[in-house]
Amino acid sequence: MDNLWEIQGKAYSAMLTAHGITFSYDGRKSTLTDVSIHVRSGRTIVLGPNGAGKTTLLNVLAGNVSARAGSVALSVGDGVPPVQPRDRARYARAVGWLPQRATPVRGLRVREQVAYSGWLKGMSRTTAWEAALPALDQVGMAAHAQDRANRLSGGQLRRVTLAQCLVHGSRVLLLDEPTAGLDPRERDRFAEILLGLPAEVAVVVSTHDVVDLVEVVGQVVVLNGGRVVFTGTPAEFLDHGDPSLPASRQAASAYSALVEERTHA
Amino acid sequence: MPRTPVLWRGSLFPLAAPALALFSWLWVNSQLATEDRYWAAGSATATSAAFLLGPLTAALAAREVGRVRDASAVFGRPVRTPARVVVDAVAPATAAGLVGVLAAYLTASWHLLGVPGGPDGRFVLLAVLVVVAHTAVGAAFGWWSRPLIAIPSCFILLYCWMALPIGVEPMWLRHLTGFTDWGLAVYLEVDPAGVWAPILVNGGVLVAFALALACSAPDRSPRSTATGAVLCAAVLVPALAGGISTARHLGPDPVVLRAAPDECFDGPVTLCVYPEDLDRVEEIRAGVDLAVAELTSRGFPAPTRAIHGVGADDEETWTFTMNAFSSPESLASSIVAAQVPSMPEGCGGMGTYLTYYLALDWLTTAEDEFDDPELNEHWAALHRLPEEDQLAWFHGARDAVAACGSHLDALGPEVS
Repeated sequence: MDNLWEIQGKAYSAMLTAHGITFSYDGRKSTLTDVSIHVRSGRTIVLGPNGAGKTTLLNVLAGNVSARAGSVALSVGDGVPPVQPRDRARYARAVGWLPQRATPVRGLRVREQVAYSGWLKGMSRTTAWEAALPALDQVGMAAHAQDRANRLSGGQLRRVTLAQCLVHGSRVLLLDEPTAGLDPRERDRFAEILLGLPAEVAVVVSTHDVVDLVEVVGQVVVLNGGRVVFTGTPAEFLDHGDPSLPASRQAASAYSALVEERTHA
Repeated sequence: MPRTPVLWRGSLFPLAAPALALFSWLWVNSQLATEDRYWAAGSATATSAAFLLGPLTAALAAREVGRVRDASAVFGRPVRTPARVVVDAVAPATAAGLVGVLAAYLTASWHLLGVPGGPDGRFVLLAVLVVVAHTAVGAAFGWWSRPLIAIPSCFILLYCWMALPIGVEPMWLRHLTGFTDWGLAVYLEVDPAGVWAPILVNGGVLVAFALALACSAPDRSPRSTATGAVLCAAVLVPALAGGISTARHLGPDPVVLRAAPDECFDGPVTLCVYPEDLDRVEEIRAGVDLAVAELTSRGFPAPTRAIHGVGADDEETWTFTMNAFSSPESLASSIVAAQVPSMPEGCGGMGTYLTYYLALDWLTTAEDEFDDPELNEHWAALHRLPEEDQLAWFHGARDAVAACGSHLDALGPEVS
């Protein structure tokens, strides 16, 4: 076990910093251009239209792909040097990743799926097996521990995947469109789960779903065309909306305003 | 806590291991039913089960790796190295293949119960290497392509690799695969090159795979892929070249004559047999006595020794071969027939053929009428000679056949 993450029992705040990130899939057209964000403990939402670079940004933050320029670093407390993605083992252990599409390992039951994830992240088989049940409990899936993972509904599978992020004690959770395709009840449940996560865990959620999540986050980042067009608190974000609209539509109006401003610019 | 790693759950091991064991049992049983009770033959036959165990294990490995591959996006960036992840994923497939190897050797052991000796370690190593190397290739297929493509394609390709070379040229190709269905008789032993060549090739594949895994980066970056490819080539090319150079001189079956047996039993004729035949000494002696009676009645002197094996017979020593099903009568017939040496390879003259068949027929008194009128005339001319002249003609014919020549002239110009 890595010393850095052995201090899990002690509450501390994680901070993920991306500075000047530029990324291109084909080496020509940049998907991300000079993106800088600071993610502190608590919840951050990354908004943006299709193709804005949300998934790419999360992939860079997760260390799944390497940026052409810029740096990513994870700070976990005073006196501990920041960890960078090239320090593969320590970084991967600290970061949990929930992709848009969750495919379970064929033939595994829910608890096995989560335990396998813990093992992949460096836990011993015994520790991962024991940690799987509390992680499932955190996402309200402990009752399904013995179910076949491939027989779960989309929402349940999404929660199991979140448990996979939690089982190894991630300090940063990167959730790529976690509520896409879920029914309203599952979306509410997911938001509740996010609210119930320990305060010291930094959660980054990319979504189109402005209305559902903006109320439960501490920071809003808006991406458009591969660039950051807004970073601020939910209140500052809502200030960009039309004050004459009902509260339920203010977030959508703010989002539209920010994206359109950038497009026209 | 489950006793096995979680990936064993939902793996095909519980179905595949018994199926592979059943195949091995059927294969080794059917092959050894007609083989000599001899550990070299048993080991080669048990290892030859790998011709199907290997490709099936590869397909299983592709399937098991495919399970993780399909789900890999969900796990994000692993802390475990790709090597550790793949090894963990293919463990059930490898174990199933090794169960097949174990079953093959247990079946051979059951057949050879009581036979002196034991499994040949080189063959055991080869069987394990073939199965594990196939697992590695299957894992590579499973890692780089979708299961729907990887599973059937790796099975078909590897089955072709194992089964087809036996029927194609160059000859050495068949000796690189590890398919060792050679039918080793007791008086033969394996040419070490026939085992080391496939060990080199399969070992090379395995080492190349291990190196590729060790240097592969989780993000499959072009740099790590290129490094892996170069290292693979650096191992595979010399392994393949070494295998070819080792196997080049081998014939269809890589066998050599075994050293003459040193277990000898006194009697009117001293009888020397291999340790595997010690429980058949009386039966063999009965066959030798029948042959001695037959040949002495035709004017041949009785030998002082009869030795199991292949060698140049003389008046003092006879050699004979037999198999697990030889009776005293069939053994006697083969000893008698062995007095006429086989025609050397490349003898094409009609005179040699006729001399050979006539000498053989005279010795075994098999027929007195042939389809070939010319042979009938020679036969009649031979039997018109006095008995001592017939024996002298036979000895002359034997020498002529051994030298690829004809001895028909000695029967008289009117029939030659």
